[in-house]
Amino acid sequence: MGVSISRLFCSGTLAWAGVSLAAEPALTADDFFDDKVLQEVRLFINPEDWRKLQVNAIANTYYPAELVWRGQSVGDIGIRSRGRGSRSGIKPGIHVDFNRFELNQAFLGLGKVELDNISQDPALLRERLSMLILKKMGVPAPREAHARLYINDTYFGLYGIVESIDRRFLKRTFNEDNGYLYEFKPLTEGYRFQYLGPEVEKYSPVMWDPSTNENKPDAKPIEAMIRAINQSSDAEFASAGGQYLNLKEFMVHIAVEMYLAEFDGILGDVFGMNNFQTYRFEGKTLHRFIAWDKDNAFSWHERPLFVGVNDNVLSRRAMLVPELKDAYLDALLRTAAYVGGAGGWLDQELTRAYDQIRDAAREDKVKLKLVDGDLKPSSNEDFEAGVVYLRQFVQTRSGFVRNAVAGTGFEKSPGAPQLNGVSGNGYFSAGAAVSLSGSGFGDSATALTVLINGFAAAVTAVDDGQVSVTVPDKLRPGAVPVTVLKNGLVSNTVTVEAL
Amino acid sequence: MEARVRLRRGIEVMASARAGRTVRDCHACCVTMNFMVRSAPFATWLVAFGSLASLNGQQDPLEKDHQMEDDPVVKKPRLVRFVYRSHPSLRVGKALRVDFRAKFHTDFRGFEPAISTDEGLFDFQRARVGIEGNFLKIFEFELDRELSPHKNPWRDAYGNFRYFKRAQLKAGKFKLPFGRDQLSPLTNLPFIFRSRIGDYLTPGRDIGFMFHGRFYERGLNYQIGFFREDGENAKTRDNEGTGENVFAARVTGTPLRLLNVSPHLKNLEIGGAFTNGDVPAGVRGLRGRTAARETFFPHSNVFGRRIRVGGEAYWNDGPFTVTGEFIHVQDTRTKQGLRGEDLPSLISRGWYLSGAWVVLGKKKPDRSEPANNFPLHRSLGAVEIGARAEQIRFGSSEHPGRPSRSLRAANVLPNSDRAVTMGVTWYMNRFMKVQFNAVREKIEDVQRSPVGGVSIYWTRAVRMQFVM
Repeated sequence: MGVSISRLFCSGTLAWAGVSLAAEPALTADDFFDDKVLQEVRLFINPEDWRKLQVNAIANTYYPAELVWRGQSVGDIGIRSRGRGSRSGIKPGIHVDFNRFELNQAFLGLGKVELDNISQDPALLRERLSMLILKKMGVPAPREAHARLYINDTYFGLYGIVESIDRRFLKRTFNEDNGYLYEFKPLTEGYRFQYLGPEVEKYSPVMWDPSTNENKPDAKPIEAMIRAINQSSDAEFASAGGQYLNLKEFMVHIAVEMYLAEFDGILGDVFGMNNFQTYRFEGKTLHRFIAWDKDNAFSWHERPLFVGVNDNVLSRRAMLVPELKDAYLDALLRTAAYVGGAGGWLDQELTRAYDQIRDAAREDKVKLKLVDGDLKPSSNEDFEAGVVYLRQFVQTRSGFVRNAVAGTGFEKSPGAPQLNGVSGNGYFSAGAAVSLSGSGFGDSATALTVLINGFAAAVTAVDDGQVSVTVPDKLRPGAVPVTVLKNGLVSNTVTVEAL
Repeated sequence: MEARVRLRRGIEVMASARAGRTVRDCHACCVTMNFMVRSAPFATWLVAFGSLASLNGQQDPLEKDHQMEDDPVVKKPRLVRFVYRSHPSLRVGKALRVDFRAKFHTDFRGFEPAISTDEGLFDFQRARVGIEGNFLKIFEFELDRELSPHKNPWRDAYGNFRYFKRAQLKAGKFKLPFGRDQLSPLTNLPFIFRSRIGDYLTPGRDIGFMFHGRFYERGLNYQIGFFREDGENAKTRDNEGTGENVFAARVTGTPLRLLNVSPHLKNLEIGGAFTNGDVPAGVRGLRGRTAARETFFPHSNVFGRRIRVGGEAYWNDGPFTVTGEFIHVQDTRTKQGLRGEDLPSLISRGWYLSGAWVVLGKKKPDRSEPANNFPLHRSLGAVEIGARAEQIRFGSSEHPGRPSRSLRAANVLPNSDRAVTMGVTWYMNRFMKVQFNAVREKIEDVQRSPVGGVSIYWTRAVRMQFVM
């Protein structure tokens, strides 16, 4: 009888435990990169190793460590200092390699992750916001979130958790991972897609450093791509280059970086091309660029829209093709529409992120900023001033971009709807039903996206000359831009006073 | 006589040329040195055959040496004289003797799978020159320098006070008394490569002093020394010492001489050795590498003490030789855990057993030369075949938790290299030998294997050696 009772007790306990475990949702990489919460990452590393990592931050020496996140622990990992211009011994950027010592080890399905020291941005927010915009515009970019980093149970500083560009990223983004991935490493003297000759070694691994298929890095298509970009005639440029790159996607990529006033990206005006990775699809010659490291974005809200365009062979020649130039200007307007202005989508994202990291940023005693090319200690005042500067950019950049694009004579994409006005002035407020008048809206609600200060409004009815929408709840009072996208083509923008 | 004159003239030319280079300028000297190193493989053989050709009087050089000493012209030798036995030698009466020595190895190697090594497929493995001798017969000295690029170009550099044969004092830079394979000159081994434990678990050379001596006509030998660091074999990639303040001791003997056993067994020599030293904190654990010098177990974090224990046995009877050795190394890992906790000791352990058989001709006992030289004695010299089986393994003394490859793992996932070497050595004459070796190695953990996913490695090598 006693045995039976104990068995019953045991089985009941197990059943309870089973129910309990089943009720607990399994954590995933999405949770790790969830930017709705401030993550907390703990690294355990022998103090001597941590000292060495800081003292020899310039070296890529791996040190054994253990990572703990939300009660989940992964040991036998390797960490090392990372970054180029952002590399620092005071606040090291950390590359975390989950399978450094155990080939098949993964954490939440991740093989690697970057802990970004955000050393070049006093506001500590540029990288995260940049990636949000890039992804919204369809540019492949890593997932990111902020985290408090603890070293051996002592708070060390505020870091960005950045998804590594590896096979897992490729699988998630392109649904394949057997192609060729290259990290672009800039030349000191700057490189801007010039053809350097037929020798493959001049391009890879010098600049295009293979991250997959390292043992058989087939870089010939890279040489062929650059040759086509440089040596094809004007008439054949689009088709020749198109064999190696989707040129419209490339124009979108550089347009978003231009919107972000990124001076250290593909059209970098300091070290030439920088901060992107390249993936060549399996069995194809087609390449795709992947955005990387945007600490230097949001540099100046009035940064002109063609800086560096003529210095880079690819962008210069692409701009000579009307379709590609239109794609570039269209992408600029679309970015402005998605971002919004004061009180708009990005402004509210900024506020949310700032509220989330403020305390952690203030407690971060090792935060840094970039001053005249050198990393210097950053104070809490620097942090606040950085956020103010960033907010000014976010609130004004879209207006500047729209005006600058209009200055080129481009108001809307060819084939895009014409927006004439918005009814409901006087009661245009969050939750209100309003209608937009114009032409070319078509008759499909699913083909339309109506952006009101960057927020998508629910389309309730549509005919070719009118669209009925519900004003998004997040809208705040003030002058708000309204733009309509039809199958991705951007209309002109009208400004409405919201209550 | 003509041969002797020619030989002397050659030596004089070489000596004057050397002096001239020294006096002229450094740049020229460097260029010449560089040229010497690059052209050495060819020069080696040229010199070797040249020497033999010059001695082509059907007589052994040794016999000639005896004749020289008996020659009435030199019967009353000058106070300072230059003689040539198996190598050039400077004598100052009976007070000073300085022998000039040179050793050259050239290796041709092939690897499967293909591995690109620092040395390449052709390696001018050794170009060593030096002097050795004695002063008043009670003070011995040796000074060797490697001419080819080397992290530690100065090899042996020591003096030995041998007034008492049973209590001699040696000081300077020389090999710590540990490991039979390591202590045997590479030129005398029947294989091209030392055993894995001889290369990586023994200390090798360092600076220190040592008392040593022998009793009962070498029936009992001892060596006890104290050294500054833990030897060059244990150094890191950056050539940093991994241990310090090392005490080392070794005892060997032939105990069966005392017993009434078969005379064939009386030559059995057995021994034991021990080292004990401090190991500063750092990535200073012993590493494991293959015959191609590819790492399969990296340096890992240790701190505390390093203790080595070794046992050895050697037997030689006529054309047969058998050698075996076992080495166990323990590195403590105080406060080396991720959270600063103590870790179980790192254990490096290995053994080898080798046998050799002179199948053709005769070889002088315990020497790397045939009884009859090729081509002077119308003999082919001697041919010896050998085989060696061995293992070297790394792991931890205890095994808490999941085994891991991390440098700070509590439970170190072991890795080992099991190797079999087959070799043929042709002892042409006292100067030259040619060796052919094939080494098959199996790495236990393919993840740490030099070529990812590959566990079996073949190394094939041919070595030409010239020793003077």
